[in-house]
Amino acid sequence: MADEVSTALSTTSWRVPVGSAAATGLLAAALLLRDPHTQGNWGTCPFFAVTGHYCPGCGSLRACQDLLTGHLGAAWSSNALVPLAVVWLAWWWVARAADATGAQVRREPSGKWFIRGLLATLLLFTVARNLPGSPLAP
Amino acid sequence: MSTSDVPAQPDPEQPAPSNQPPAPPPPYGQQPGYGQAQPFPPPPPPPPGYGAQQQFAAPQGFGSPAGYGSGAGLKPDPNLVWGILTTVFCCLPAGIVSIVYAAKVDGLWNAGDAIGAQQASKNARTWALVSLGVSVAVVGGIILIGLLSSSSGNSYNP
Repeated sequence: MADEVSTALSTTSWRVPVGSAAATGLLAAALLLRDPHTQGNWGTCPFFAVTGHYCPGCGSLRACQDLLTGHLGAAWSSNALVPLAVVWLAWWWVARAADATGAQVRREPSGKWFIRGLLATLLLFTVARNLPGSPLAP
Repeated sequence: MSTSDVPAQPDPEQPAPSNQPPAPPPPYGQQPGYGQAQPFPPPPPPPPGYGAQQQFAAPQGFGSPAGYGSGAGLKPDPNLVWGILTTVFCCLPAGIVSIVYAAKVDGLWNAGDAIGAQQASKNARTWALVSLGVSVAVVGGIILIGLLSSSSGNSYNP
């Protein structure tokens, strides 16, 4: 179901791949300049502040910074979803860049069952990381 | 935080310049009797999937051929990238709403509801932008407060 034909429109602009790469670069620079491991540098997760529970995104900034500095294990323990999400996002970016060049690249998975699986994963992950002593906690 | 169409514009108040022009009238819904008025028996039902939809839509002159996701037989982008970005890297619950709408795109499209699929795609983007805007506002506000008071009482750090 995710095997839609790549549009490969030669008129597609470079705006999306270039803009997203630039935004990613800006965020990476910001994370390297202002370490999210230091408390308060990037504020508090609003969900955690209100509920006292971890959301699926808690720890993601630290995980990104860990990835940027080459600490894959630390990234995994900060937020296990981030390394997986980065793979999907890289696929997304390659597909958009391929659209701009007219190349044929298989689209990133985004079909109904993939998204249902994603929602289920998010739910299980959120519950699991809030269990006492969970290794998935940020 | 990479963006899809509005780089460096995380403000949800400013609607994203959609690359999906206004949807054309629905050819699917207007033709419930597809094959009824024809003297010969209707063709076998097309297999579900992208190719069949395109074959069905193309002879109707459905939509303008200009542009990505313009409805010219192309399934609208579910904008899942926005939902993943805002759920994994920002905060609940608007990101989850975005992913739920993204999940609807595929089913609506395969059911022949091109307008509904485009609307779901648009909603997925809108809710992700809401999540992004809230996150940026909260983080910016907390950093501002931290700078002003120079003593942060935060016990946790996203």
